[in-house]
Amino acid sequence: MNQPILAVHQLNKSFGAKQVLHDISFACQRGHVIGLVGANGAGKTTLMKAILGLTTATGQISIDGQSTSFDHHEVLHEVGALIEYPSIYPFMSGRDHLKLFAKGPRRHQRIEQTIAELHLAKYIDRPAKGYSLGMKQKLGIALAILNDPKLVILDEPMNGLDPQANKELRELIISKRQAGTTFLISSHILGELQRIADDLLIIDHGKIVKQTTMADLLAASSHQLILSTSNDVKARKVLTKAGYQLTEDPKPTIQVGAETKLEPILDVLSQQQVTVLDVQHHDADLEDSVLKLLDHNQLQKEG
Amino acid sequence: MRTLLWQEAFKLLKKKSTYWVTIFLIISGLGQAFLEKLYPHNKVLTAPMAFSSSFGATTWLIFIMIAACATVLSMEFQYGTVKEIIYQQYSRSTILISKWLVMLGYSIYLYVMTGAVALLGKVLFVNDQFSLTAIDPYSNHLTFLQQWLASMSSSFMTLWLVLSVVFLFATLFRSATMAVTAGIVAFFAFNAVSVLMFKLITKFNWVKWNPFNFLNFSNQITDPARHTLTQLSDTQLLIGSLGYTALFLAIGLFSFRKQSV
Ligand SMILES: Nc1ncnc2c1ncn2[C@@H]1O[C@H](COP(=O)(O)OP(=O)(O)O)[C@@H](O)[C@H]1O
Ligand SMILES: [Mg+2]
Repeated sequence: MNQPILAVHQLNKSFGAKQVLHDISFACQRGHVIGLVGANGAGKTTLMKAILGLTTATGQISIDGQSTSFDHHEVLHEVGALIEYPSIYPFMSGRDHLKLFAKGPRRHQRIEQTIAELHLAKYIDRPAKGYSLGMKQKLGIALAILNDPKLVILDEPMNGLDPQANKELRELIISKRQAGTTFLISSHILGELQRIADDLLIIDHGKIVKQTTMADLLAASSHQLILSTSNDVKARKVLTKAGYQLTEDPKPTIQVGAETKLEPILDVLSQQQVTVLDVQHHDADLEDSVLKLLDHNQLQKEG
Repeated sequence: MRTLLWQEAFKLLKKKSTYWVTIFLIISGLGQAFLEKLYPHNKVLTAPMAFSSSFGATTWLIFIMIAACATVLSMEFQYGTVKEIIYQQYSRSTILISKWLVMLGYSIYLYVMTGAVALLGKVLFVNDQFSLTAIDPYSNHLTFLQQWLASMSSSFMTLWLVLSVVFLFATLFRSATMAVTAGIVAFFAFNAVSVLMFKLITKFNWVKWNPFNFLNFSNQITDPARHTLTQLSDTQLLIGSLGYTALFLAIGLFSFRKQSV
């Protein structure tokens, strides 16, 4: 069962002369939430469309061990998706949409369960043409998870959701993941993925520039300690002498690794009669780390 | 395939227009039959003539089916729902073929329904004006009933020749407007240019094989004198109509199978 649910090998895609995906290769482990992060125009949507057989591309894609392509994609019955903006038929109600796309046994139960999970009950029987963007988005997510797929592909699912709906979606994803569903979720709002993704694929100009786990990315990213002391100037001297890396900030700010202990720092200061009034931790968040990565990538290209 | 057929039928039945069309056709059919009762001696459109076109329904059907076939495909592009349909497990071919089949079913329903309305209108309003089993003096010795059935089935063939063009344009341009225009032009503007076409046929005999000439099939069935204009037999017209319909549908299918969305 260790076969990846989704494996992409050497995927290339061009629109005319413009190459949009370059040799994309990656694999998604079952039961993980994989974040696909990149700026607008990086190729997230195009990559997802290629996986779903919506657009042509060269390379190999296999889902649950079966290869799939533009022309032959029977295996997609194991996949649910929401791509770009939610698509709805204005002349039908939300419930009609669920009825239309529900397949297999226990259809009725799954429809009811999905309505409950996404809190759609209030408007599900109204015509979909009156839905707000957020309501349409939730209906689109409902359609993606309706048939209990093994793999769910969501393209910028947080678009248009209010904070409450956002939180509900996060909880839904976490609970489905625990039940074994794999998620591939794209976003340019990095903070959203920080809380749910296990793995990250960072895509820039159609190339995967980094494949990592969320834990590793956060550990590798910088932490800082910001100290308020009785004598900041002296503290700065003492700490520099003791070998700590300080930044240029007015407060003594120490660049530390994830594992650095606070105690020796306090000791060295108190030996020199500097009292520490306050310590603030500052973790660089995902956004900073990714931006740093992209910058690095940019420099390498230019250099 | 069964799922796709079911999905297409479900969407069709969820559209309010589907019901309005039925109501409209019933009212218009019975209304025209009633007018024939009010003006029994008019010479412009006698009761048997009106009956042979199911009291006008045959022409309305063409409009309605052109609109239905143009939207059944292009709405998916317009609403973006084509993505949701394609990333199910089914191939593009089965998706399009399901749409054809549901539209075929819909057109058959409309013919049967308007046929029943026409019979009802005949019995209710103009039963005294002619008998179904009497021979129609203008046609090739058919009874009014046979004449009516022949006219319905031949106009059905012609309708599908037009609809194949509508489907073709809907796949190529993904726009309902383009598809409807193509259908209307193919069918209605054709009557305007047919005089020119018939002139060309007398000059260059091979022109008779052009697809527009096959739109004459239903006209020739009800008016055998047309044969001198089309230069084709009824059977040739029938087979040619079917052939062109299949050809246009096939081109549309081929194009749809290659389309990224
Ligand atoms: N149908 C198309 N024709 C031409 N170029 C396209 C098409 N779709 C996307 N692109 C281009 O491909 C690139 C990637 O787009 P996309 O996958 O939508 O990016 P993202 O989803 O990451 O914002 C962009 O530069 C975009 O302009
Ligand atoms: Mg996108």
